[in-house]
Amino acid sequence: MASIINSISFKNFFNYYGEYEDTRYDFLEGVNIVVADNGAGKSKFFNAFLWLFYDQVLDSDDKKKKNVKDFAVKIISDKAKNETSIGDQVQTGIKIEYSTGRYKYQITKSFTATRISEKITDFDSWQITIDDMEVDKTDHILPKYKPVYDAEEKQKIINQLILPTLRQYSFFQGEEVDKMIDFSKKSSIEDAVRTLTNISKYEDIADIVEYIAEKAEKDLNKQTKSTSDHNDRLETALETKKELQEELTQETEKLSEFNALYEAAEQEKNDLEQNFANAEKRKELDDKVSYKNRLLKQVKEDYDSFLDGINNRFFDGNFSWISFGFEDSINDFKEKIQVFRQKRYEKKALLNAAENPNDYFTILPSDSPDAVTLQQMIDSEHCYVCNRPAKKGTEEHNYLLKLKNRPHENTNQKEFVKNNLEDFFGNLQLNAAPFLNKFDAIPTSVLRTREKELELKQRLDKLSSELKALKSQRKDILIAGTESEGTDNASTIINQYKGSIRRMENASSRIERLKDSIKDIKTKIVNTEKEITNLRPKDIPEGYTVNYEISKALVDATLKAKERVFDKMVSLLENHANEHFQSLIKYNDIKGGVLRFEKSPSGGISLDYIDDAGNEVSGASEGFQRMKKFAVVMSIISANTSQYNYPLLADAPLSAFGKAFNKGFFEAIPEVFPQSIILVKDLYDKDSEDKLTDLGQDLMKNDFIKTFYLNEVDEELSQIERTTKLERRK
Amino acid sequence: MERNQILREILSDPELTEKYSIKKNELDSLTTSPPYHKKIVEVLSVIINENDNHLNSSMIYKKLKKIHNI
Repeated sequence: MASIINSISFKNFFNYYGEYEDTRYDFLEGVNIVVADNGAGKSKFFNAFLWLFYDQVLDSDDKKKKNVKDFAVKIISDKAKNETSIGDQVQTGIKIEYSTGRYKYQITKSFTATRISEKITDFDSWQITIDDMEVDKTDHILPKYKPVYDAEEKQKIINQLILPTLRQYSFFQGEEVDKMIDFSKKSSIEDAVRTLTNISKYEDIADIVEYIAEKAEKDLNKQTKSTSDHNDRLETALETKKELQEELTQETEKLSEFNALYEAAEQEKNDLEQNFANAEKRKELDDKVSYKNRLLKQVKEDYDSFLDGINNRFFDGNFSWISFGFEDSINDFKEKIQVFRQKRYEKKALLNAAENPNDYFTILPSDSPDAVTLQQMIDSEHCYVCNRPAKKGTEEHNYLLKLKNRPHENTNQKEFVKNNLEDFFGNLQLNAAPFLNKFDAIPTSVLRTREKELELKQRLDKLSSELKALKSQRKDILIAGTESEGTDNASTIINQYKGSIRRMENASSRIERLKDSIKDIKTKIVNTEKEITNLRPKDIPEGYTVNYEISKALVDATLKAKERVFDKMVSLLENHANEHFQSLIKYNDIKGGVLRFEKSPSGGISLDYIDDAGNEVSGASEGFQRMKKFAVVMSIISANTSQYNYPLLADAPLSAFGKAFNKGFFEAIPEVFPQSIILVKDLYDKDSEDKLTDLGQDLMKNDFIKTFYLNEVDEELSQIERTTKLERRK
Repeated sequence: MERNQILREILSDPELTEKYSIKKNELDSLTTSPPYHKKIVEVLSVIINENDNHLNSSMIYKKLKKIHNI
């Protein structure tokens, strides 16, 4: 009967704060989904089973598995740690309940931590004691848990939940699917076949039969020598066979060396396969990033110098913009300067006139000649007033000149205002003059400049966001195991990948030649054996001959039988894998193709996807690659028994799948697993009202989904306050 | 059951069936338990059974020699 997980509860386990009854998931036979965003307890849930099976948890910082005892301080909920005073204790644990056909089991693993100093995150601040594992058992008819004391039985009960040999197919985290089946490794599919068949028996028998055949031949040859006279031809034939066998051994050794080379190259190629595709994409992106960087730098410089230009122009004195807004000031100035000047003249005139009226007004007696008459008098050298001559150079003539020029003689003008601003206003007028005709053009100029600025800014923003997108794309293209940046890394991977293909081709042609050579040697051995049989004396006891002949016949037959069993299982796996694959890709647009297991020259099995036209489809997405492998995992399980008896526990198996894959996945898993508990982020939608994606909402309505949980944490709280809240939606 | 299956699988090799005249219906009913009607069946049955009994190759060979009276 299948093992079904009934419930799991946590006590102060990571973000699962509180008592067991506060954080409890109940599950049913069929598909159970736990939806959670990052940090909302998916991996912690998975960790509970790692603790159960292996006394380990996964450290999310370095993705390495750590022993519970060594890592205990990090396992305790931060909130619980914070609430524990120095000298007090806090317990952390997991409790899992599962049932088989007849019994129900409850397993509790926990530890107690005593706080001994202030800093709660320090490992030295806590003393850890691992509590005894509690295992209780009850039957379904009269449910009453009774403790199990025997350590072996306790372990057996844990193993029974998911058998250790099958855990790799039934208990995994997303990316582990990739490692589960590695078609480049001969051992990978062999391991699966070994799990599913009794092929190891055939191998044992093949070894025994080979040993027996050797012994039988030696015994027969011994008899031959002891019962017959010297026979040169027989001696020669026996010697020839020995030499041929030595040659065969050498060639076989060479073959296994080249097989190993081929496998190593193929392994490298497969390891690099994803990276190669990524490296090519990455290199392409690197080129784009570098081009965009150059462009961005240029535009940035343009933008900066553009802004600098505007700034500088404000200070060069000719920039029309500085007069912007002063349009009305012209008339204002005109009016005011007029008033100013008027006032100024008045002031000047009044002040001087008041102080020295004679300097400003020529006061002549009545009948005084006017200026014209004076000029005539000067010219005619005669005074018409007194009618006397006034010859040039005489006192009279000089008097006439003095009289005419009198007002102009006074140059000693006095200041009449405290500050003479005439020049200041005059200069102002002078300097403003060039701007007078530019007012109309200013708004257009400002507009154009702003447009230019916006255009540059937009280019800058566009380039920046393109660059950001490219960098983010590049970041997403992980090259496993390589942290270094730059094109060099991508180029190295591309070169390594191509190099591994070259080495595979070289090894493959050597393998072919060696196989031909081995075939030739074997034929020669068979012929030599025939000759030896004919030359053997007839008086050898029959038992020796029969012993030799039968054991020899069995050597080949056993090897062939082993091959047949292997091939049959591979073919069965292929059929099952295709059935599951079709279910998995039901909602994708890649229908029509099939999965094919191909034997590589070195004996490994490669998994190819062949389209309608018989062509191999390669370079598909990571999700597609993972889906293929998952189909094989399902085939290993379904080919094994008519009914698989263990639950599937998978953390983020869908992370690389597309939406259509996800749908296919949830529909397909019940075909193989009686119960599955899938921890998934992809159905979470923070912005949606019910926090689920469309697919999440659809799935919840389906009958085959038995329970549906949503985990959330309040991200606004500090880490120390954060706890996972479970909400059962179905 | 598993032993019989292995026996039949190995003996189903066409070269063997021809050389030792093992007919299809005979093959299908072969078991690793005595009585054995053919030497090859007896030899292979002993190997399969004794391997399950964890006898090593050398010990199995000794048993086979007895079968062949050598």
